[in-house]
Amino acid sequence: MRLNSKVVGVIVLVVMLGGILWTTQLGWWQTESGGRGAGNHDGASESPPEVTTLRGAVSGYDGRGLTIAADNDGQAIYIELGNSRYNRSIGFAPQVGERVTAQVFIPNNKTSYNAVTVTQDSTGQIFTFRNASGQPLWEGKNAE
Amino acid sequence: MKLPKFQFFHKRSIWARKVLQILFFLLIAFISVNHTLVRNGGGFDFLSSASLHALCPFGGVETMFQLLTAGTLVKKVRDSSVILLDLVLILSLLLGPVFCGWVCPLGTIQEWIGKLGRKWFGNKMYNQFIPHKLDHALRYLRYGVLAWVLYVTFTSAELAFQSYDPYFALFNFWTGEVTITALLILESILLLSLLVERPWCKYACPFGALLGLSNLFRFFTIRREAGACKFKGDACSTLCPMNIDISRKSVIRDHQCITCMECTSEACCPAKGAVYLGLGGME
Repeated sequence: MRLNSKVVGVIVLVVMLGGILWTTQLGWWQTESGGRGAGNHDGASESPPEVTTLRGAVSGYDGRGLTIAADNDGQAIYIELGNSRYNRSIGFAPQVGERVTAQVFIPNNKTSYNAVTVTQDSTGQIFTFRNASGQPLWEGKNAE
Repeated sequence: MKLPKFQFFHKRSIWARKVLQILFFLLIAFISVNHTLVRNGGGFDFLSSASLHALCPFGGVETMFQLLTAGTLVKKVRDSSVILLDLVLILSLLLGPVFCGWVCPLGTIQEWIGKLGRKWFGNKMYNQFIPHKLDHALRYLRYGVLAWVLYVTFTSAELAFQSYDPYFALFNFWTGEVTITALLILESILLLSLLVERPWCKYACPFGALLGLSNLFRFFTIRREAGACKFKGDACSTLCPMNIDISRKSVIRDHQCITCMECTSEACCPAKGAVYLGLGGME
């Protein structure tokens, strides 16, 4: 039995392209089994990150992150939200001076804060950016 | 009587392979760029924004020990890597390391640069610069690289190879996540490709080392019918990117074969049906 290059090409195309599309469309590129060393590039891990609460007034917003003047010492703190397109899609558009409460954590490989949720104190509306594991909601199957 | 026209290098093209190489190179490149765009707030919805780690089946190899012993994956490795590894292994068992010859974008870019080298130095000189004995010894280096990668990955529980990985460097050089070492390795490989075809694949690729072993027991092998080889040339050996001496063998079970099929009668071999991909056979 002999195979010509066209048959080999079809087999490789179906298996590899199918495999890539299959795993990416099903969101398996985003999942991992967790445990020792598990985590994603955004610093999230399977074990829930240690979340702290920050309160203050918005002093700046660049689409991807929020700067607030913290209530306790007035220090400017930058909170990374992540993806500007996602932020727009959930209607997050804070105004300077607006008071917010943010649930944040510091990822393993960073020193700045990542937001899990941000609450507009005046309306009570909660905007969620990451899940309890710290994984971004705009990536992979989290996005669906 | 008119004699048949003899063409020593009867070079036809395995166009299916070339099309697939371009397709997979562009696909991986676009997904890598999209990954960066999405992280920066842009990107395209119709295209996956998976990281390169998630699309690399070698991640499945790196994490295998941890997956089997602890049921977890090494940091940055995704389930998709393990699934893609399974698919690549099934393909390798059937057809040999077709991933190397038909899919891997790092192999593809080396091959593209190699075409330039082949043009400059000619078919007889190109890919023959390294002395045979040294070349033969260096080919086992990649098994050492594979053992080292598995060891450091297991002890660190991280993708330690990323700091040296030219494949990661090729599709992430714009992100700032690539080390100088990886960039230097990538540059060296691309430059060396002007003299030697697929230098990374031959001497250092740890994934190629693993997949190369499938040549020893793959179902379909490259076979040569000595009786049909009437031209007594050695185009198959000369044009083999991995320098395998095909013209002296009947079944190719060399650990370096990448099933590119460039040696077959569909491509360089002028004798019809002399070199082909067929079922079974022992060397």
